[in-house]
Amino acid sequence: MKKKQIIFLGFLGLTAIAFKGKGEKDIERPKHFPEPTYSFQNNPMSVDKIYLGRVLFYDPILSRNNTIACSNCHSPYNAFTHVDHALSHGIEDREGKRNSPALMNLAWQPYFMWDGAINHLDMQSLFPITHPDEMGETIENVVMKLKEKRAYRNLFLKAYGDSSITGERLLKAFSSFMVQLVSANSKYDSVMRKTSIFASQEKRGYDLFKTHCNACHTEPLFTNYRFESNGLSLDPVLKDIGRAGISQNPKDSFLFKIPTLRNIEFSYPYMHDGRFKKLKEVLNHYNKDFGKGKYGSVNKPIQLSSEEQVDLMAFLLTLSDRAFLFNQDYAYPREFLKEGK
Amino acid sequence: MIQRAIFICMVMILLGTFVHGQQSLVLSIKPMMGKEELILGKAYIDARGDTMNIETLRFYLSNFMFYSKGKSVWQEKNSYHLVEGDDSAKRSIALRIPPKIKYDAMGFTWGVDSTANVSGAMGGDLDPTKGMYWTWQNGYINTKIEGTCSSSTVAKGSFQMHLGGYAYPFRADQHLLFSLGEGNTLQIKIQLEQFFEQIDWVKQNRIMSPSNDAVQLSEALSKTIQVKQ
Repeated sequence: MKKKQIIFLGFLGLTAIAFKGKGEKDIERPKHFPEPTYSFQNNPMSVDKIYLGRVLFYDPILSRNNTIACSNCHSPYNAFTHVDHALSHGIEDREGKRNSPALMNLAWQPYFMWDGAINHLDMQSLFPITHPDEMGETIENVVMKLKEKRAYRNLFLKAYGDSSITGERLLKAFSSFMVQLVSANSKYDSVMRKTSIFASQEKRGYDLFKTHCNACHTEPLFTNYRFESNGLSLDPVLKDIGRAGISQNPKDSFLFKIPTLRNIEFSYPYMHDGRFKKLKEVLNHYNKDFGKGKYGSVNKPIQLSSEEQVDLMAFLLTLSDRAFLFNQDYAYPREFLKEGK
Repeated sequence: MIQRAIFICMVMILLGTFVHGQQSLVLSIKPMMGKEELILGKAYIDARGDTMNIETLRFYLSNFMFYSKGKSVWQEKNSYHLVEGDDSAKRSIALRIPPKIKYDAMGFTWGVDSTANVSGAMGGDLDPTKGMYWTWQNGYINTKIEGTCSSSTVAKGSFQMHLGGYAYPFRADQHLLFSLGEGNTLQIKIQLEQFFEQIDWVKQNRIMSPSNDAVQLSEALSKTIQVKQ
């Protein structure tokens, strides 16, 4: 009997190894990027879990009145932000007070929201789900609504091995999808991979970028993930004090997370409150006005000539990653949301 | 034959995991109003003459650790327990301590440690569906106490205390250590009336974020805790 037990346990072990390998999926890890910071060891990725996260991302069931999905304010063709909306609106046309951030390379991002309120990607989704001006729902109720749907029970079964639906599983499925959103195939990236070269104007723009912008919008992620003053005056209606609202430290007043510049061509409008519609306006701000206002704490205006500004703009456009924007692996899961329920 | 082998394997694994020499220490958590154990929704008159009615009481006890002569001898793994004031089953915690472990002191945390607060989505009692996670910012609410008080100056005399915070300078979790004798049951008593006596109801009837008040009241609450065998 003992021998049989050993054989059986060995068989069990082999099955476990075989099963573990099935459907596993890592994220794209570009060679010119640093190591990602997301805690993959606590949330092993699989094709099924990623698919579950993707379906949830596009399903308005997450909102209180089933009208708003994550994708409403994070649309894939706009680098997962809300095109043409300075401030995003949630259920019942309620308007928030900040511009929805573009979503990409989240596995490298140490904290989330313009003020860094959230310290882990897993917990990020709780904010929009529960905010009264966004989805106005509770995580408890989302879990209850999902449990009532057989199609979702099946997706959880595939993703986790049994059909139980919990807050932890829901949040980790979201993360599994969101860390897949890797943008590393722009012209800039191909230059870094030495499969392409910059045009002379782009090269001049790159040199200007390294001199004037790279300290905050640091390559290759185009942010150093710190909080800085963007030098903008306080909007008297929104009264957004930025990081200080979370840290409760007056020194952090009017500091906001430095956003990535990747896909900047598509992620308009710009700044934490979306006050600039065009990239040119942003450039004007940093070129002339930056540092002059009461709230500018960093440096001084970059003062580029109009030719230099055009060069810099040419470089910024090399950060557009069309393979990312039109990646069908991230797209609306029509087959599930139209037919699956 | 294979089925029988599977069955025997499973039984052996289960026996090995759950039965083989476990001693259990059962902790009964007793929130007290004076000499009475708290009943949610019941009106109490406290020492200051205020009429108190506690509607919600929920808190985390975590990281149970046992010591002998000052040295750590056993700690519970994944040790996070949400105690629910309205559910007598959730006012009891059973710790499975190996029998060879001898101890003379027990330590635990009132609240959730900072590691759990920065580690992403967690399950069990830490699942965010338990309603003890702030959503507009990070972090677990260590203690939720809600109710009414005749001294509270806000509408209908209601108060809401959501005490939490895991990061400097508003770190609210409290580390407690008690010496113990032998025995397999313990009572952890929380003297809520003593705690309420220290509250300035005019200023402290709404605490909803990490702050000096949250830290001060968390300390005050933890000082009312007694362990009895």
